[in-house]
Amino acid sequence: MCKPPAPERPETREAFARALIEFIKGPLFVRHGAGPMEVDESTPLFETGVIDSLGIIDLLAFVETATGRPVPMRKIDMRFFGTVNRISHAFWNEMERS
Amino acid sequence: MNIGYPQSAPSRTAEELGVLNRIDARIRSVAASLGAEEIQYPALIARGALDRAEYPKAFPHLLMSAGQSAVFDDHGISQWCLSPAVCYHAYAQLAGRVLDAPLVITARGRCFRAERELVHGVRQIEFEMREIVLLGAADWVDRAADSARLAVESIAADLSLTGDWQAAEDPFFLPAAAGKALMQRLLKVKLEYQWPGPGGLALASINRHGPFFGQRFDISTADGQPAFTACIAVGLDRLAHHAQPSAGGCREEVTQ
Repeated sequence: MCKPPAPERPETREAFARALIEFIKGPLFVRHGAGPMEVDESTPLFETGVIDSLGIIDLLAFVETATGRPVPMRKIDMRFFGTVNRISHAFWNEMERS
Repeated sequence: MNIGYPQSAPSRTAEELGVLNRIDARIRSVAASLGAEEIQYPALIARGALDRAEYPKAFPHLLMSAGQSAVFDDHGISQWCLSPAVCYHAYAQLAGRVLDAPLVITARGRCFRAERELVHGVRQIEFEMREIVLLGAADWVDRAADSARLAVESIAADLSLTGDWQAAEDPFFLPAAAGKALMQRLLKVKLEYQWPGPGGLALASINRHGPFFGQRFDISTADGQPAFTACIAVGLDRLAHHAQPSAGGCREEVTQ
């Protein structure tokens, strides 16, 4: 599993999203032999193969490290994981409320 | 039916068998409405067919094999397994075929999985499933699976087993397959019809395989693309065991 270089606690949702994009384009692509591929906040992460069954484990680790809390199984859903935008809204916002 | 000795699946009286057969007939009619061809497959399946489907790699902990020494190869591996699901027979049967049109196969069969616990009507080593196997282009498979989903839901409701469809994943053996399980849940390729009875129980599932089995078994559509497949699997033992007697089922009592 990649060691996610995520900020301990992003200052803003935008910072969280930027760190996540850098993680996907950097360590995650290197580890799984993907890319180069352009990724922004609205890129579909799964339909386009940006993230596969290996990458999703690292993606979850990144989110959990960055937010400091486990991702519950009920949140393993495209509504929350389909794009960087959805991930940041679902998990950074939740962290903010805690 | 109480037999008094350990059984891998329930023995049934004629009346209890009638309940199961009536439920099966309703699922079979769903398959018929999709134009299904009915096939009866054997209980044993060639190890090579399961290897091609990568079943032993993904679920070695569930696979059961025939144990007479004559069927073992030089490496001590049995060449015959007990079918863990009905649909693998269909893919093996169609291996190498080009489908001129979408194809639907339905089969009722006894399946075997090495479950750790044995509670009749909940988790059995031996169980009966009615499966509807869809093969064709991606869009058609999706539409047919959706149609079957609604029909199965309606049958369950008629049996007083109202539940809902939930994203699920297969019980992969290797921890390294955790990502596959997460992807299944995320992409909703496996949906289970969960009845919220005591403890909650999956009564049926819809499994969308994409081109996986089309590629593994070299089954293609007329345009040369790997056929997409999906399978609707209905647990007949569970439905018969838990359906209310007023709905034609065998449930003995209802916990308040």
